[in-house]
Amino acid sequence: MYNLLSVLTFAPEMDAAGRDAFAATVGKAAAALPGVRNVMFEPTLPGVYNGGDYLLRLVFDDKAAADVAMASEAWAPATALIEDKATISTIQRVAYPGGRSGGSSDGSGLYRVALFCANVNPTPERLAAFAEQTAGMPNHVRSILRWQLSTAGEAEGDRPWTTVWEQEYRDLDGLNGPYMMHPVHWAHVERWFDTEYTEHLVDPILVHTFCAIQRPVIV
Amino acid sequence: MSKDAPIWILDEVTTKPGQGPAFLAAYMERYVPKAEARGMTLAHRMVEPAMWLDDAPNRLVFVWTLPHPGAVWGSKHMARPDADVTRWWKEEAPAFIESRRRSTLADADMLAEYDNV
Repeated sequence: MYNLLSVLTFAPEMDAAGRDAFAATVGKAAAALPGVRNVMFEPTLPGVYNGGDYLLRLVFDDKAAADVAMASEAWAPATALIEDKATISTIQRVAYPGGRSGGSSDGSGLYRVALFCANVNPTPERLAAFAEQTAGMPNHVRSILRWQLSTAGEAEGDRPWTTVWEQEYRDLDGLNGPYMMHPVHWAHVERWFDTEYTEHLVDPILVHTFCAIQRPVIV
Repeated sequence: MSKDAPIWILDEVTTKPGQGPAFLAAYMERYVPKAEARGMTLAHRMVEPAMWLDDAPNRLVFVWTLPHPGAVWGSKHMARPDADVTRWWKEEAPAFIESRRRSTLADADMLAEYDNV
């Protein structure tokens, strides 16, 4: 599978009517995309960090199918709005084949994604150790129902994002509670994010965002 | 025990030969005050061997405590946007040290409880 994820932030001048019109147009266009295997287009929830107002996640069989869909007539109205700075002021965007994944969910609950830029002495050995420890978190954080850890193939935004870390939870408590408070996070994996540790690898600018979902997203 | 049992942060530093006293003074002056303001308490500062060496490295061990895991996040969230923290470890401390390591530790009796979140 090949995934396109966009974290969209409205321009400050966008009012409620404009936001509703945007959501209707993009939602309709996404549903009509040729070759799309899965669509998630949802508003973010309060509490995100650098997390935008809407999350758009599209899944295709491969990059060629994604390219065809993005160039299609069906998507043109959405492109016009997303690329309009008066509508969307900031976009964090990644394209990535599916990475390591696990677990299962019925899709009702919460989708969370973090975008990281591993740019501090990113040797292959350090990147592999970071990925191994991150992918090991679901073995300890029991509230993670479904997860995927991917390497970004293409990226744009505040940083050249290198890593896409996605999870599905039953609810927000699963993210704010067990995910944050298990020592596999604050005492182990966190070393890669903290400038005070010699393991420090990840740029402090990151994306942490989430939204409610009604069906499985990580497919 | 409750989940309010303390968490320990260890800084283990090997100084360049003869730099032990200078590093300790710099650490106490430039790093410790803001770390304490982030909720960390410096419980011990230890030197190996038990004398300053003029022509060889000293090993210094600083034992910090935080009252509970939530305080670890609180301290991190205050430190992360503080350019002084990064400047200390990336630019100032390297003048004194050969190597260092920071570790996060908990009481062995607490591990099962911490796993049950």
